[in-house]
This record gives sequence, structure tokens and C-alpha cells, in this order.
Amino acid sequence: MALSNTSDGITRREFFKNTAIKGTTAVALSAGGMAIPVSAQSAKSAKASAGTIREAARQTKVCRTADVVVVGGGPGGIGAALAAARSGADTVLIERYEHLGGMSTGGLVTIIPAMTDINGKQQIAGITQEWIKRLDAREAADYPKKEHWGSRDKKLVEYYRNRSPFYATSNSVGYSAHIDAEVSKCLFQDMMTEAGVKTYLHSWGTEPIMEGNQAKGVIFESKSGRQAVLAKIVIDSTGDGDLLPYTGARFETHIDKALRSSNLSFSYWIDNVDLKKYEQYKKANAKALAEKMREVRKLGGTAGFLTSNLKNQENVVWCFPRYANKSQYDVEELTRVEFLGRKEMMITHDFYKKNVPGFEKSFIVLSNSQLGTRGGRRVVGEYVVTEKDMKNKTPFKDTIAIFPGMDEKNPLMYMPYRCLIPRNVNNMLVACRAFSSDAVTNDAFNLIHHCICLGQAAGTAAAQSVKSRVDLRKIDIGALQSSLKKQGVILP
Amino acid sequence: MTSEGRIYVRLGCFLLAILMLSPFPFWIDSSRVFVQASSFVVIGTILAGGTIWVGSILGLAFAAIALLRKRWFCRYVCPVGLLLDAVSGVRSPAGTWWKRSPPIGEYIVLLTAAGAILGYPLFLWMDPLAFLNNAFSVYRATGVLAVLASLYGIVLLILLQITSGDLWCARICPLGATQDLLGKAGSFCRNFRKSGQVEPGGRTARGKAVWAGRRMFVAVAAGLGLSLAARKIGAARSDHAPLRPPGAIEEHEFTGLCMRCGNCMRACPSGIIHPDAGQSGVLGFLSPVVRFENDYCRNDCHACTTVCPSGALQRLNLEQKNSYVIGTASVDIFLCLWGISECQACVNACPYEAIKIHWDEEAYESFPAVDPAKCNGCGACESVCPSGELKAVKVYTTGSVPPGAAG
Repeated sequence: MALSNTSDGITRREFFKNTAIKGTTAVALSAGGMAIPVSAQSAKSAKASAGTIREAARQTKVCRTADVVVVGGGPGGIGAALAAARSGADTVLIERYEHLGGMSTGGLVTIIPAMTDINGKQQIAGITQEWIKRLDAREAADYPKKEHWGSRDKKLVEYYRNRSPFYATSNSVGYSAHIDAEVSKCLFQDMMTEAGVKTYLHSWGTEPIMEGNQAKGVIFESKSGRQAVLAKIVIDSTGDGDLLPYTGARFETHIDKALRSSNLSFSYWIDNVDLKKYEQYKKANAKALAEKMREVRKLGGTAGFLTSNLKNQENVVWCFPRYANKSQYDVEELTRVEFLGRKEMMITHDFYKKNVPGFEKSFIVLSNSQLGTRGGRRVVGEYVVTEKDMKNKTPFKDTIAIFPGMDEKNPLMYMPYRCLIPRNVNNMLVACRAFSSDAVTNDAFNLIHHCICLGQAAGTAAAQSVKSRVDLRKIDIGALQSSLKKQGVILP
Repeated sequence: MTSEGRIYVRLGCFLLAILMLSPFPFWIDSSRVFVQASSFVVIGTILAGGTIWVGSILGLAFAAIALLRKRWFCRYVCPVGLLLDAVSGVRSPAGTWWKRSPPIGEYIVLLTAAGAILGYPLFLWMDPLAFLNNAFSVYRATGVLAVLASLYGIVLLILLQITSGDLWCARICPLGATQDLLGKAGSFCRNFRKSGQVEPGGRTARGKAVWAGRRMFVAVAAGLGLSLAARKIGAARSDHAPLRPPGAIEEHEFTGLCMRCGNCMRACPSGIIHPDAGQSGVLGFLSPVVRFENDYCRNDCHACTTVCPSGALQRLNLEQKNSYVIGTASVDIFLCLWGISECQACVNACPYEAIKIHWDEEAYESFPAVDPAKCNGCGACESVCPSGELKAVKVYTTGSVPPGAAG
């Protein structure tokens, strides 16, 4: 497991520049933040990056103090903020978009896959289950019936597989849900309000406030300007570990291009599709349809989609095109893919409308308000979860979550609390897909429900640390686990 | 032995046969040994493959008895014979129009034996014990075709019995005819030793003998010719041959040596072996093919390779079976769901790590791809592929992977 170059001795300026400079010599910056002119740059990249500037020192308003501040209102942040607040900590949540839910709402990743293991036993519950229960109350979730989980009955598997490939990923039916993004946004804000989380939307948490290696709070930008929240514990739930470059924490960034998580996605929904007509056509002309899919892909479009399956959404399909990229936190790449995604969305829809029966009167109803990201920085924590741990049959002593494994040989994956604690930094937890792991393990366990689990554990641990005034590394693990169990988390 | 005594022996043999073929056999190898009790099958397979198993001893023993006692197996042992007699008993014997017809069965045996020498025993599938054995596969049959494929032999025999009386037993049955030929050979040898004469008696008899000899010669020649032709047809098709169960010998010999006894289909716990209708041409009609739409060839099982009575499926141990190449998987990236739902079902299902997500720098894209060196065509990937009716990952006969699917 090799650490990438960027993870060693990175500074904040360099982080900013990294996104702009590619293929040029890395720039050395002095510890004091003195800007040194960029050397050995080609004329072309010099245009892209004209060295650095020194910003003036300034006074920043502290808008609030709290026990716990959570940066990022995606699945990890939701888990963390809710668990912290419910465990009695005064909690602030900072979210850059106008909604909560991150990938699960704004990213239109409206699928929570694989909450059961291969035997159909539910392994992921906690806040994820609470969310689905609330969605159920509004008839805004679709998933295989509980009595069918784990069934290997061929007809059932075939039925659910036709509904969604996520409902039967191997040869058995599992608990995976399609969910409604808009209802989820509402539910999440309800849950925050009920738990008493002070939430800031439209607020981009950009930088932790550090005192040596102690995290003291976070600075965020918004229409109200640059403000600070001071807190006893800072939880980075930014997904990409956006706070990490400003701390002493090390992190890794390399993701093998063959891994799922190396792709960005640009998701969108097509409405008013006559799916019955489409299904009939597909049944009678499977080969012709396959030929058309070949064609649309050659044009640059996307072949295939998932059906929404949600109540009263019988005419809605979901498209999830993937985009390979150099980095998922490089603003140039993000812009490139955003442009490309929209362009190819039009190509795809035009083709479907013209060539695929059932799509004649369809229209694009929605595209993701946040680009779909799958992998960014990964913190180097007190424990790095690796491929080896996927084969681990005995739980860690500090297991805070169980994830259904990838195959029959490795049915369960135990997650240790230590993989949330960055090395060399105090009063900080990483509760999102940036948890401490190698690329392969991260690829397997960085989905929405995984992040909620990690968040829930981090939030609970943070509240416990605040309450008992014990360092995050030294909290009573038994108490943490029993508290999680009380919250409905499934533990060994 | 009195005829009453004989009936008890026959009933006993019949019950034993039922026991051997029942879904809950008392002996794991019983259905294989059952078919090997046929001298026709054993002689055919030995001529074709040169392999002798412990089970073959039974067939050879009955062959030895046939040298001395005319159709002893038919009279005392054959369960099919008893079944057909019972059919006649229920319904009084029908037509005897065939009484003056030539001994078709003997020609069948000669053709088969001659073909067997070239590795293609033409009519091995006509063995009555294989018919009966096959009928007992019906409880594992899925689909109308599979039911028909398992019952066709025994149903035909019963229909023949109802319409034409003993036609099968007396004139067609190659197992009976094998005994007849052995009996003739036996008495010829005995006479030869007694009299020292090659030819027995008068002109007419001699003429008959010469005539019979000629016919035999023609039959043998025809058998050689036909089997050569069949092998040639099979060889021409071998690139497009259907997927065969593990242990299958070369396609151009397989369709001949396989007698459609149904043992492999019955033995397969995954139920992936099916009778073929069309994929392998006329010569391969009802021969076993492997399909992965529901399940795959498990890497802890080699059952089918242990039950074949003819050696069309070679006996393989588990390790040999897992390295036997049934076919090669290939991914059609245009049907693959990796692109739309991050599906990696095939990657996770492959027991041999032969499918991995592959990054293509040129296309700036990643997709599942198969490493043919690691793939044995077990079909785990195909069976889990959720892409719908047209599977994105499919196992193809090695060497016939379509260019469109090269992924």
C-alpha cells in the first residue's frame, strides 16, 4: 500500500495549486506560507497557474461555539450530526448545498444497496433503517419484501432482478432500496430539527481551525461571508476529506482506474417514459435493442437505465453514466465532466426519443445538482482497513459497524472505530468515504449506508468524548458499542 | 430351471434394477453400473475407447454367458424385457408381420462395432438399458423437452410392443442381437472344435452362411464408412459445438460415444446439463449440453464425470475437473450493467478470479474483462449476470467467442 506523493508534507497552498498544476514539478513552499515562484513550468501551464499570492491576515467572526461541528451534510454528516446531537452534544452541521443528503439526494444516487448479507440477514440498520422507515411512511421507498430477503428461489430472483439489479445482486434476493431524493431532503431536515442540530446550509466548510495538532473548529464561507464555528470536536464528513490537507493528517489519493470508485457520474432522470411499451419491445426485440444500445454508446451516449420503481413514478427512469477522470476533487476535472455529462445526456435522450419505443414523449425531468463522486482522499488513520480485513472472520474489539461483504467467501466486513481517527491530529474524526482504508476496501465499502454507519459511530463517540472529557482515542469502547446498539445499530 | 423359477429370477432382477435407478440409490455408482451390464454397451465402448472399468466386468460376464447359453440375459435378467412382456400380458400380442424380416439388430450391432473401432459407435444410444436408465432421469427433468428426452426410448419400446408384439426384442434390440451374434460365434467355435469343419452341412446351408457373411461384411464396411462420415461432420462443427459437460471427449467422437442415458443430467446438482435439440446438429440430438441460465458448474463438484457409463465424459477428479475447460466467458460491454449500476456481479461471482474490471487507457473507460487463461467456463458469471434476457457475460465454446463480445 503505497502512499501517493500528494499525501506527504502537503500544505494548504500546494493543495490549492495541485488542482491547477498537472505534470509539472511540485512546488516547495516554506512552512511560514512564503510564496516561492513556480519553477520549471511550461508556458502553457504557466497560463493555467500563475504562481501564488499571499493573502492578507484578517479577523474572522466566530458565529457560534459548540461541542461538535460536522462539516458536510451528506450521509456521513447526517449520521454524525444526528448521533452526536441525540447523545447530548451541542452540534452544528455545515452543508455547502441547499439541501441535506449529499450523494443520496443531490447526487441522485437514490439507491441504498446491500443492507443484508448473502444469507438475507440484515446487517445495516441504525439511522439508515430509520430513514427508510420514514420514507415508507410516505410510500417513498421500494425494496424487496422482508420475507424474501435471502431467498434463492429462481422466480423471485428473476422478478426482483428485473425490477432492479440491486435487489438481487448475486443469486439471492437482498435488502436494497430505491428511495425518493426529494422526500429524503425533507426527512433529513426534519430529523435535524428534531434532534436539535444547528444546521447551516449554503455554507462551505473550507478549513479547520488548528492549534498545533489540535482541531478547534472550522471556518466556512457563505453569502454571509467568512465565519468560524469553534467546537471541541471537528468531524470531517466532506466525502473527499476536504479538511485533511490543512491538518497534519496524512492521506492517500491513489485509486486504481479499474475500480468503481475512480469514476465520477452525472446522473439524470427521464420522465414520461412508456415503460410497458418499452418492456414489450425489449421482450420481442432483445437483439435489435442490444444493437441500438451499441449505437448510442458509439455516439457517446449511455446504454441502459434503471427504473425508479417508486409509487406513482411508473414513467420515470434513472440514468447513471460514469466518467473516468484524473481526480474527483480537481475543479477543472469536475467542470469538464459536468459539461461532458450534460452534453452526453442530451445525446442519449435524443437517441432514445428517436429510436427506442416508449421514449417518444419522454423528457429530461432532473439532473443531479451535485456531480456524483465516488472516491477522493482517504485519511491515514489509527487503523488502515485493507483487503486483508475483508477476509477477517473475527470482529475487531472496537467494531462499530458490520457491512455485508462482497462475496460468499467473505460474507461480513467488520469496521473498527480506529479507522475514523486520523493519525497525528487530535479532536478530529473522519466520518465519510474518506475513512482510513486502502483503495480496494474503500471501493467496496464507501456507499451511502456505509457512510451513515461510520457517521453514526463518529457522532456517538464525539458526544461521549465531550461528555466524559476523554480524548477520542481513549474513550470507553464498550460504552460506545452499547450506546450504538441502543440506537439500533447491529453489532457483533 | 422351471418357467416358474425363471419368473422369480426375472422379477428379482427387475426389482434390483428399480432399486439401482431410484432417486435414492443404495450405491453411488449404481446407475452407471446398470448401463454397463449391457454387453452391447461394454463391447461398444471397449472397441471405441479401449477403457475397461470395474463396472464393465458385469457386461463382459453376460457376454461370456451369451457365448454358451442362447440369450440367457434376455431370458433371466433383462428388466426391459420383463416390462415389455408385461405390456403384452396386459394387451394380447399384436401383429407378427415382421416374423420374416431380417435380424436388423445384428446389423445394428455390426455397424456399431465397426464404427466403434473408429471411435464412433453409431447406434450405442439404442441400448435398451440406457433407455430404461434414461426414463428414470425424468424426475430431474425441467421443461417439456427434457421430459420427452428422458422418456422417449421406453415409450417407443412400449408403443412398439403394443402395435407389433415382440418386434423389438426379437428383431431390433441390439443387446439381444449382441447375444445372438455371440451365441452364433460360440456354437461356431464349438462345432469347429467338434467336427473340424469350417462349414456346417449342405449346399443351401452353406449358401446361407456365405450370404450371411457377405451381409456382415457389407454391414461392417457401412459401419466404418458411416462413422468416418459422422466424425468428419462432427470435426467440422467442433468450433461451433455447444458447451459440453466437463470431461467431454472431442466433439467429433462425443456425439457417437454418448448414449443419451441421462446419467450426467441426473447427477448434476446444479441442474445445468440439458438434452440438446438442435445446437449440435442431428448427430448430437438429445446429447447433453451445458446451459448457465440458472446455475453454474460448482467448483466443489465433479459428479457428472463419475457417472458416464461409456466414457463420453471422462472420469475426472475434482482438481482435473476444475482445470477442464468447458468454454471461455466473454463480456459484451454494450449489454453490461457495470456502466449504469456499477454492477460487478460477475467479478464477485468468479471462483477463479478470471473476471476483473479492466481499465482501457485508449478508450478512457473501464469494463469487466475475462482472462481466458484463468477461465474454465464454469458459468458462475453468466448465471449471476442481471442484464436481462440477453446476458452481458456468456460462456462460449473456446475458439468461437464472437468478435462483438470481445471485451
